[in-house]
Amino acid sequence: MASDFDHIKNKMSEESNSVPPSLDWERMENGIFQKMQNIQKKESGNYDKLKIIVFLLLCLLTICNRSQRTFSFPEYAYSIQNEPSPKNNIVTPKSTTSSINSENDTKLQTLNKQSTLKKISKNFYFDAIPTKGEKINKQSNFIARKAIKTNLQKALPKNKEQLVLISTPTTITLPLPNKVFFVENTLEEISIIDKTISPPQKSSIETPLKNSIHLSSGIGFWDNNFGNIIPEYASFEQTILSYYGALHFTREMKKNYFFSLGIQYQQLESRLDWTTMIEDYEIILEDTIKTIQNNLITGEVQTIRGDVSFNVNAQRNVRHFNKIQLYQIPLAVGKRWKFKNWESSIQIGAALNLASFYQGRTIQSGQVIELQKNSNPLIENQWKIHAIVGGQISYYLDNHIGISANIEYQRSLDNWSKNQGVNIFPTILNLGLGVNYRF
Amino acid sequence: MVAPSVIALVKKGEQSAFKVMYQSSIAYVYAIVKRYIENESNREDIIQEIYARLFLSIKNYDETKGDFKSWLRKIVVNQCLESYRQGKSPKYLVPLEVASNSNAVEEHPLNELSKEEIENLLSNMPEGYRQIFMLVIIDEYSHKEVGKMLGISPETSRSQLSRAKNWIKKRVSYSNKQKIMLNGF
Repeated sequence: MASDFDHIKNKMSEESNSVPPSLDWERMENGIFQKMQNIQKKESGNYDKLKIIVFLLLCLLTICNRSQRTFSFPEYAYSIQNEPSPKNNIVTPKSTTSSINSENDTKLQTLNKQSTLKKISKNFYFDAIPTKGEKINKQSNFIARKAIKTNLQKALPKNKEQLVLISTPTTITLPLPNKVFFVENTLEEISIIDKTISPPQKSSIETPLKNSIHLSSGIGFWDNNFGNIIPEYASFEQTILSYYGALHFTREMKKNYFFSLGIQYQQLESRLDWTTMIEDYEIILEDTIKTIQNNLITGEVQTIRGDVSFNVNAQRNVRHFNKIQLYQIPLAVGKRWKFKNWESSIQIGAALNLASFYQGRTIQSGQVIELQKNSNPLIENQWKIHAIVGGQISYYLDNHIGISANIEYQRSLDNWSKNQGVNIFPTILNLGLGVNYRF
Repeated sequence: MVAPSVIALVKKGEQSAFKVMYQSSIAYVYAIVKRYIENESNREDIIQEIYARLFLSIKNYDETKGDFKSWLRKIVVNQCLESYRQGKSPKYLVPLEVASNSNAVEEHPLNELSKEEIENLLSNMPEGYRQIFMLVIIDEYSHKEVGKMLGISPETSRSQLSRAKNWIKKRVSYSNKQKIMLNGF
């Protein structure tokens, strides 16, 4: 159906024949090419930021992967290259020689499969073992050595550089020097030299736990400084208690210094309640009785209807909600102090706003207007960097798991404002509780 | 508007073709920019931005998917909206009372308004209404497309358009008892 708005459309779609002289190609040419260069620079800048993020993520993955590899081997597996010669150590396997033959074949095979990651010395030969010790029973020694040799030959047919001693319940791959003396007190027990040790205790070989993962969440107080944009709104706009959630990976370096990398979700909310008086608010009453004419002669009553407009004093109420969701990548360095089960730390760093989502809702004059990211006329906070200062106190329930309370202060280093000449540098104070896991 | 051979030369980066393309299309571009951008001093800057993006992205233009004019219009409208978002247009900072304080146009039926009167009418329209009215009524974007461009839901776009129409209705007084038919849009 043709409408009056088609008329507007047709009129407005007409091309203007009179283009201002200021838009001549000669005048615009330089500006256009300059802008082309700026756009290309900006796009390459975004590409660089992307590369930095990918690099940081790769670093995180590498660190995680490395830490897994370090701690994935059996705790009682030794490597000759890494361990000193155990000349003074004696191993006393608790199993019998017969059980060695039977049940440990499988373990040896398993170990042999893993042996690609274990570099073992080449300088061990069975034939070099002298029969030392006056109390040695030569017969049993011979049987024991034969049993071990048989095992090794089965398990390591092509790799005689390895000596694997089997003990239950753990499997030990021991480095041996050139001269190691096997003795056997009984047929069921193998000992080396004249001392006996147990399989190493877990604590004796424990590596300091340098990695930790910290999961936390809590409340956030923030100051948006939006009042800088529309000063008359400043006293009406207030931030609402917000919240955050974060997952951090921490790697300890020397002298209790550490660095931390993670991902953080930050939700920031604010509300504007604004009321103003409008003195000349125009109201139009449509199809209203304007006049009633009474004909005194005929007695006829005539009603005249029409639209009536008049001005009144009115009160305008505006309520606006803002919700900003930030996904940040915080990177920080810090120092920690340990006292028994307690641990405290401070850190300083920066967070990059990887992604940002905005939702707004304005209620005015009976309308509800929904706003989303692109319609936010005031702020742009993606790819902005925040400075971070934080602290944490943790109590470890055991060697691995701890609970913590943390505080974090953020301040944007970049201006969030889209409007020239207006500065918005929001600040955020987060208070939270969390769980730590050390490994 | 712009000959295919010129488009092909611009795609190849021939700078002399840039001038031809500019001169062939500036009137059309200016007409659109003028509708969206009130501030005259901003128009020149925005047109430079439009042509910079046009020359950089013309490699992506595919003749088989639509004519050049529609493609160009999309770039122009997007850039005008982008300028709102970047705050180049001061309209966003206009106080909320603007809707109630704007002046009514002279008494004419809507279908007899001259172009200047229509421009005057639209320039007084609140920004939220005006954008959607331009996009839907003048440039014939769907509410879904408008929603994507402005970051609002299609329902909000419909609602805003309806209010924009009512706003125009209230601003345009009737003369000679002519009734404006507002149904059927």
